[in-house]
Amino acid sequence: MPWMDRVEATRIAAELLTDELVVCSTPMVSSYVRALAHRDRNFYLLNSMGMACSVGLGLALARPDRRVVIFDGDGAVLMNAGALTTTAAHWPTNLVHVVWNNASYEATGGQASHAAGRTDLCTLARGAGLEQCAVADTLDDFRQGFRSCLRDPGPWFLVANVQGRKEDVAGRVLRERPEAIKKRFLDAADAQ
Amino acid sequence: MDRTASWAQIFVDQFRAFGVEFLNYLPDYVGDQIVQIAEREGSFQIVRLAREEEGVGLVAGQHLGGRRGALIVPTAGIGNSINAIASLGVPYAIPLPMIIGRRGGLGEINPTQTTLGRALPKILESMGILTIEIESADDLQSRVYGGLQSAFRCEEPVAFLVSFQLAGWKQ
Repeated sequence: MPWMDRVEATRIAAELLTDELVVCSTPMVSSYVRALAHRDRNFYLLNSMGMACSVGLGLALARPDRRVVIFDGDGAVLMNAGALTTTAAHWPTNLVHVVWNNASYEATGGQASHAAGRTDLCTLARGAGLEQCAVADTLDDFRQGFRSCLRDPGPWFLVANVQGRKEDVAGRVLRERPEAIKKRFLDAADAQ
Repeated sequence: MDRTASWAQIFVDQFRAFGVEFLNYLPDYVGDQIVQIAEREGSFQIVRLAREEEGVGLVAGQHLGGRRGALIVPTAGIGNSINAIASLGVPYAIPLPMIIGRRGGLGEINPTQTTLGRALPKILESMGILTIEIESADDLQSRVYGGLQSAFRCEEPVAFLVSFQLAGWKQ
């Protein structure tokens, strides 16, 4: 079965988001969200692969009054998989970690990641102690799963199996400079 | 251990004075002296890490949440964190105090610590990061104050390298 269309899945995420604080990993993940689900309360990483998990955890600990959503990629999770154990240790009930899993390094030409082989991301997260894991294979699964994650106490680890079409979004996020991204986010997050 | 406790107490007192709430920590011999005092006093949230690089992200996230954090890690951990410091700490202007247990300096006992330990000040300085080498208790309070002031007012990473001479020789 072909995996769900990432553009459509990102549009569903945009429909469901309300006042959450969002952290996006790497230029590729960030470009999809920038193009299809941009809000002032979105923070975009332009590098620092693997750090979204930790930035999201820091934000969730600092803002227990808000739900925090991480949009991550499979390659980035694999790069910093130990960070899942840190999330589990601190158990932020306001954190939702979404992994757009295309089992590849889309930004560099679609080379397979280990998620294309024997590694199962949900099992990895569960082994780290994040037992609240779910997998979405279809757009309906994703809509239901993401809605629950935004509503019920976390931390949540939601693997969305997707196929990309990066030509629609490539490079979109690089139009904003890092300090401008931070300032916009801080202004929007403080305003609430 | 009064001598060691007194230097670590200065860091803890200055953290409190600057409103630092989160100490993001991977155990090492030097940083542990700070964290023990902080835990005893109970006014900090200690965030234990699995890898030091995570702490760069955590401090950034705490800053995005309007709160202040510091990173307390050994020398090797800064080696593990260079791209995070360079691509997140510097360009996003993250106030990132890094209290680093200095390895590879005077009195090192492990030959695998010397290469990175001796290169680290040059690596940090070549990235434009204010690097404060702390080898004695002289003027310590003003140096810690000044480093934290730079980190929080200029919104930038600042490195404190705390040596064995001050923290006690490793045997």
